[in-house]
Amino acid sequence: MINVKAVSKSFIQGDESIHALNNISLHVKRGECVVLKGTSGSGKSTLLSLIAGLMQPSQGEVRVDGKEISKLPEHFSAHLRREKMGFIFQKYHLIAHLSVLENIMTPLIPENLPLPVLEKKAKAVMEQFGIAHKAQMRVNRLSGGEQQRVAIARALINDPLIVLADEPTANLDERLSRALIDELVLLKEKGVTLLIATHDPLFFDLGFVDKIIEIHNGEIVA
Amino acid sequence: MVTRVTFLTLFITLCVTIMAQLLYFSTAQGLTPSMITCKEEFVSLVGLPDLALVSEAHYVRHRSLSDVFSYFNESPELLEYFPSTFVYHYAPNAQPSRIERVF
Amino acid sequence: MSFKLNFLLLDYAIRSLLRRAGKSFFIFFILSLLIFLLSSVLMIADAIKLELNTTLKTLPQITLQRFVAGKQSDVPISRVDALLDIEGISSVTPRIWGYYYFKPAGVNFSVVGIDAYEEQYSQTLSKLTQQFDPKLLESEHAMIIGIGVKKVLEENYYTDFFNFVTSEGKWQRVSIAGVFNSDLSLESNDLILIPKKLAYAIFGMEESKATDIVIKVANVKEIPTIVQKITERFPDLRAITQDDIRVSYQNIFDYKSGFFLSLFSVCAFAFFIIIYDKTSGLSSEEKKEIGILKAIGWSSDDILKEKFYESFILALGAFLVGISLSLFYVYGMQAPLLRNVFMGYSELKPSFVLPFSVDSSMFVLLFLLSVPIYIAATLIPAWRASSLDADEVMR
Repeated sequence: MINVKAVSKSFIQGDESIHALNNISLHVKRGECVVLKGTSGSGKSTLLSLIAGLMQPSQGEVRVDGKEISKLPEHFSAHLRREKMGFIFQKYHLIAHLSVLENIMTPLIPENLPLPVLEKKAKAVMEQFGIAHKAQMRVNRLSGGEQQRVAIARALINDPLIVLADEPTANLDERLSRALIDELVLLKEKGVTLLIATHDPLFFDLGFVDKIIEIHNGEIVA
Repeated sequence: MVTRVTFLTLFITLCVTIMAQLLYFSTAQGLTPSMITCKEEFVSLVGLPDLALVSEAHYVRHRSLSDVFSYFNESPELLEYFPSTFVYHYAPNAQPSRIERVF
Repeated sequence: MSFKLNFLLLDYAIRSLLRRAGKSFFIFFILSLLIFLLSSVLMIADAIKLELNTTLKTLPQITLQRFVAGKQSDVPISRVDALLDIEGISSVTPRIWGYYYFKPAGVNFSVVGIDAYEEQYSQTLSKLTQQFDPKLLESEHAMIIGIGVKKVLEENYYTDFFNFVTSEGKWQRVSIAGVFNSDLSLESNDLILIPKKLAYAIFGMEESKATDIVIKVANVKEIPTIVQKITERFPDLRAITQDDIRVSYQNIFDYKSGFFLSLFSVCAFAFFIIIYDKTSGLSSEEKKEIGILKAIGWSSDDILKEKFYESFILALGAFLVGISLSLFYVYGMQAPLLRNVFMGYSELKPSFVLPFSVDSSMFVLLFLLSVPIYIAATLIPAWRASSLDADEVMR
């Protein structure tokens, strides 16, 4: 499903060149749940962004569902992202001026679906995460935990085959974290491929996790 | 959805307003044949071109018939026509008081 | 690939505009104002041109003026016979007209002398005037005046007569026999029509001279040939043909509207530079939003489409508002303030009721000058932002 081959990524900051990733290779099968373990600054978020096609690697190739996303023209990679992936960001990245319902529907707006169809999908996913009663509220009025749930709901509205999550439990308490993990289990049971970047120890002892990959200073150590 | 409908309504209202104004003014202030005949008769009677929009200086009033030297002929009393008259009126005693008027 | 309007994207665009209500409204206001000003000026110019062109064909075919030492001088009436000898000329009429300066009000009147009021004129005059008194005309010491003249005379306590001061310093009392209709205000506002004899007396001109001579020809196509013959015969005469007047009418706004338009184009240019500058430095919030949209699956195309909807709605709305307001301003309110640009500061201002004249090409021109340019000024920076890596923008 996901194939990362000898990927390196460097950023230029002023006069310096920062190597975020160094010759990383990994392979994730369809339906697998992989956890990327590492401290902040280790490069896990960068790796997730590369897999999602949000940036291009400096070297190497990234393949998602057979397509080399690192070389796809922008229009096609966006389409691939919209069709097959759901991304849960560390900082939620919700659009502040829109309501909960509108935020959740936003990824599918370019698909030009009829409004009732889109609303039905959104409502289903809102009910799944218990935020249906706040559908019309502006997201900047929600608590951190509620915003996180909106972000997760948004990532799932397009019934993705792959879910990429960057520190999904960073702002949740233990109760909500466990609730999120239960949702991820359900997704895995549906056959969704999960790639979770986290340093939350809750994830390291879970039965449904197939692989734990440790990243340190841009390289895989274990 | 509501905002979309509101905006659409506003646009349609604007278009309708413009159409209505065009229709109204073309009937109320358009040149009717009788008005055109009147104007034509007047002009053939008087025989002078140009409109009486600006009458202060000769070379502007009947400008199609005026010649280049006209504006050097002006008497100091007469207000000359300057582009700066767009911006300021430079003759401070343009309106003499009624006491000074002599019949 | 069929084009289907994406209503959800449209909703998103409208929401986006409303979110930045302050900035959107500011741009909307300025753009509407620019379009309002420009379309008002163009409409007034078109209406004045229409007024002028309506009567062009009834003007004299050829007007002859005499020039001595490069300056206009009177034409001896004796030349009329010589002119009649020229083939193709059907009639030659000497004219007397000029300006009379009324010092107490500081105004210039145009004075035109016509042959004694005959029957043929009586009918025409009764049609063209209000309060027409044919009996007064018979006395040959009566005049017909324009509305502006009437107003000035009334302000100076002259109600039904006026005392001209002749060139010899004598007073000449002339009764007011009629006032031209308000419909003719634009043409006749400053006009005084008097019998020729009276005109000679007031101007102090010799009766053997005329101000100019008007000529009627049998065949209009022969006008250039006839003009040539006249100037060969009388080198000190200048001929102004109807065609010359038509060209002069076309050029009437090169000077005034050029002045105004050059100021205007500076404003418009400054406005678009400001827009470009504002949008090129997209706020970090806007850039972040574009990054988020890209991250959740929007392509650059979708983002640009959304920005296009935003800018199109704004620009089209401003255009329609500007046009609507200017129609009302010019034809409903007779363009207060702006009409002074066309009328200057003359004391005698005619009523500014302009004939309705709109040209669809003017609207198209205004549309093309405003909407696409604004859209481009917004899209280009958005395109630049959307071509950055989403991740870079979001961090």
